Amino acid sequence: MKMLSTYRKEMKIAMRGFYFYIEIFIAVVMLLILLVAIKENPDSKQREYVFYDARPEVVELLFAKYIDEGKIVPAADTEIVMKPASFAVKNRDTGSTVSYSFDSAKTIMARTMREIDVDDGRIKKTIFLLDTEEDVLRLSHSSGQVGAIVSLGDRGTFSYRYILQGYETERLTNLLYVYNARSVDVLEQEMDRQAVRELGSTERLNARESAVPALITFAGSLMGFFIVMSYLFLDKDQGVIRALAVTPATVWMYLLSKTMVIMTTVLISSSIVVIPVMGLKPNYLLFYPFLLATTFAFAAIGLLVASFFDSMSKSFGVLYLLMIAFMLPGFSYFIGSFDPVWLRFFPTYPILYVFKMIMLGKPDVPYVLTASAGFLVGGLAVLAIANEKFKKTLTV
Amino acid sequence: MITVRNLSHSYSKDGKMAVNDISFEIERGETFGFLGPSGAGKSTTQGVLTGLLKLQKGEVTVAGYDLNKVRNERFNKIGVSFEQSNVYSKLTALENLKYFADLFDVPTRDPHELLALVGLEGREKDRAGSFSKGMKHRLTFARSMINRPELWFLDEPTTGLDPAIAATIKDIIKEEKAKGTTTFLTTHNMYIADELCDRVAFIIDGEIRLIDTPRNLKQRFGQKLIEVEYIADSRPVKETLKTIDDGDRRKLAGIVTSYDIVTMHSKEATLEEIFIQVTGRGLL
Amino acid sequence: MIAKILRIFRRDALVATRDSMLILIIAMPIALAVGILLFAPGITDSSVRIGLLKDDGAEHIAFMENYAQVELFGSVQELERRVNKRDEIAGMVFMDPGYEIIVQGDEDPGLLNYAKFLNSLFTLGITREDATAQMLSFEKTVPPLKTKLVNMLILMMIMLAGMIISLGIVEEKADNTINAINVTPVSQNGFIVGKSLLGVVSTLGSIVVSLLILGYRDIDWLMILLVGLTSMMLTFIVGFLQGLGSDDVIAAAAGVKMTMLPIAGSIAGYELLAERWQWTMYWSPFYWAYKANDLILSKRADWPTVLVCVGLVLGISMLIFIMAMPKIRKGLS
Repeated sequence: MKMLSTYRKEMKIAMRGFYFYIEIFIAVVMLLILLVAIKENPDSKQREYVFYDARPEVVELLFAKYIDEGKIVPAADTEIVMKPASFAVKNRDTGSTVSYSFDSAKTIMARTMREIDVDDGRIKKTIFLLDTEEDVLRLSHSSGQVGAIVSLGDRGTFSYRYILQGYETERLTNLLYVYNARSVDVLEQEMDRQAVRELGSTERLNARESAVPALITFAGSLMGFFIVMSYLFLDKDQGVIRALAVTPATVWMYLLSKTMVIMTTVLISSSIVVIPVMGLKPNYLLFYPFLLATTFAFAAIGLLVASFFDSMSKSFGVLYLLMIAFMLPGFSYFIGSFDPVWLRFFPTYPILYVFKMIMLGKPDVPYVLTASAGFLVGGLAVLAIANEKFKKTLTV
Repeated sequence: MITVRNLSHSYSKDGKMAVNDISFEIERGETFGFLGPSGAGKSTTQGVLTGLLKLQKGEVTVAGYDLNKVRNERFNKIGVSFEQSNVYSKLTALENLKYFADLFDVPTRDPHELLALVGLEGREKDRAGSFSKGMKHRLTFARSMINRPELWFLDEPTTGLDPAIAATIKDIIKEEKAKGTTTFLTTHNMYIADELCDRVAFIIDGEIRLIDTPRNLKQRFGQKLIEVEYIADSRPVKETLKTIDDGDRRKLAGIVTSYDIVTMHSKEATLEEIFIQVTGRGLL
Repeated sequence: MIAKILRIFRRDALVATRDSMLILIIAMPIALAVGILLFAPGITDSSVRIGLLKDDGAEHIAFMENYAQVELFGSVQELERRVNKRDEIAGMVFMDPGYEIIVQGDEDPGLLNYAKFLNSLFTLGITREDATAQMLSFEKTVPPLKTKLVNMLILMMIMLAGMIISLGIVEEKADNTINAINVTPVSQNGFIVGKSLLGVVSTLGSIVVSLLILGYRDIDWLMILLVGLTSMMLTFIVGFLQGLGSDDVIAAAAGVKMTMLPIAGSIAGYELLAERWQWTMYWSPFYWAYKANDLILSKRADWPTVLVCVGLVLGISMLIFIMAMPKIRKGLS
């Protein structure tokens, strides 16, 4: 009962401060960005500069087929400005190096094609058909994008010269070598024949949805970590804690009520983002317990860190550094091929993946429940340590 | 050295004045005591004179500089010792003084000598953070002399110090006075003011009630008193009698002839008593 | 005046050597630079991963190793367990007459396509000897993802510069020394510049050291330092406000969030937003700083572009500076 009234009082105080509304405001801004600026299937920004060393009819013929199939859509010509540049190009197969130097800027209108993903209609890449080899080299050099010079050989076959930046892996280079060794039709036929077995669900999050787990983890769960510190130091500065120390309420109850305020705030701000973006897809019965458990755990960590300092400003350094450390698993989340073992020891690593699982709508229920319980128990343990430390220092 | 004409200062916009239309002048070489209880306007006046508070209304010149025109170079001639000590706790005593010495454009005093003067010799290499309150205060006091100020602002220079150190500080102030330094001393300790000041001003509720030398004040307001303790009916009795009051004089004569005198002192009125008499209020 | 500013800087530098927090903040970016150096190959190698069985044909394994990172497993169960893990890997198991590709199902479609493509090449017996292509190369050495990481590191250092200042102000406030400075001939502007100097010097120093550690030796140093210096302006303002206003803890906390968000948002905006939405980030000086750094680090920058970015950073910061200056001045007196 005392707990409830302490919580109600804390909540009232939070609602009167402006920080609570900043949280809500930021959540609304994030929601707007997600809904307005991020497409569900965003177009790729990848560009490709190509020069066909062949008669125009041949090139037309080549593209006509893809355009018919809907794989390529012609677009309006693009104006491209090339800046003066000088660079050297090495032919890795002959070993010869040619130096280029362009002293003046050059503006061209380039024929533009878009390669479309036939499944979801997004642009996979934009192809610019250029008039000279030099233009391909210049643009590939300045943009860091792929370039190719295609020439029609004697027996009606194309030969390819790819333009590499130089940092591509050997594996990618190997692939480019054999990429056009057979005609596309032969390869596609063979690819369609491949047997594929899927072990689990083929459900995937689109670009907009896959931002949600990261947002909830870093702007939700993790935020409790530092807000709780500021609430605590505020009370300390105002001497409220000393006043509390001479009432029957315990430090434990005080800390708990602080974390509950944070949990309420995060609950509201996360819901603002999750519900409109995800709709009914996630399992909310698992989402909320996990969100609250992780927020609680981070708030407890925040209190533990706070117990080492006597003012907010002194704790800033550690605060920033820990925040940055906790955000590192985000790299692994967004870069699928980067998943080093050491990252898995950061608490935010499993949180990201559990949220993703929940968002997909088909979570491993026992796993999520175990994880929630784990964060709850871990949070309680950390809070207990913080409580012991605070008992000695909070009122000094 | 200081001329103040119609100085007013307010911290709020509701017209409530912390200092209200005060005027006074301080001569070169003078030690001027600014006395009053907390909240009377002492700190505000000193704040304006030292430039920590912006001059809002009035004409003020300090060390030859008109305060309506902000010139940081005037601080080369001014030293300020704050009531609340303020030194870098992460620097040693010596580093503190050397740092501030470098911020002035005029020849400065030897930090070692200053530290010895305030009794901090041997602690030069210790961080100020490890100092006691009194030591920090002495360091703050020493720092105020680093630029050989012509005009020296002292805010409660002996408050909270143990008597021996307070005596040292008083001696230093007297020495500086002998060298011709002008001192503006803010305090609510009337004994200090009495001992050190050429003239004192009483300030209360933002207004100066009177300015005079301690001696004149005592002559004007003070009466000679006789404090007598005697035995009457085998019980000790203590009485203070005014020498200018005829009744008291007769009473005193009666006591001396009829009773057994234990002690008898003549007593001058203190500045504090005069302050109470003038303002109707105590100093704390 | 210069001498006094330098004196304030020297004092701050001396205190920095005595404050473990400042040492930590200054050393942290260098440690992270070493971290990037160690982990960059892992992050930037986007090669597809293929899981095979140990007793798969040597020819098939050797073939796949040309085009993908190959992991070998003792049994099909082991392979499936691996495929079920969170990161992306495709398994291949020989099931007469051909190979079966095993995926989890929620991977990027590109992974499955790549696996199918490689297997098709193998089935069709296509090898390097069949290649008709040639490779022309600019022989650049720094992959773009590394550049992005380094750029993020630079922005982080710039954020920390504000914190160094804030800690310096907090020290002055705790020791109550701002008043003492106010009664010396040092002007308020001189004091502000002097107090900023440690942040400037240590941050520019960390930027240079980090870039050298990471192998960016032949970039345009003048450009990178200019961008660093100008983009620090804003964090300085925040640093001063935070340091001076640190009595108001909640405001300070909001300040933390309000600085981290634009920085993270600017990076995300630059990298993720479509071309026609990029304008939504134009308000952020960090966006322009990130853009300028991106061009400089990848050696695609020219002075006009960099100067436009720097000008925008300065302009936006100035605007905020003008708004914040009365508050800073008030806090310092």
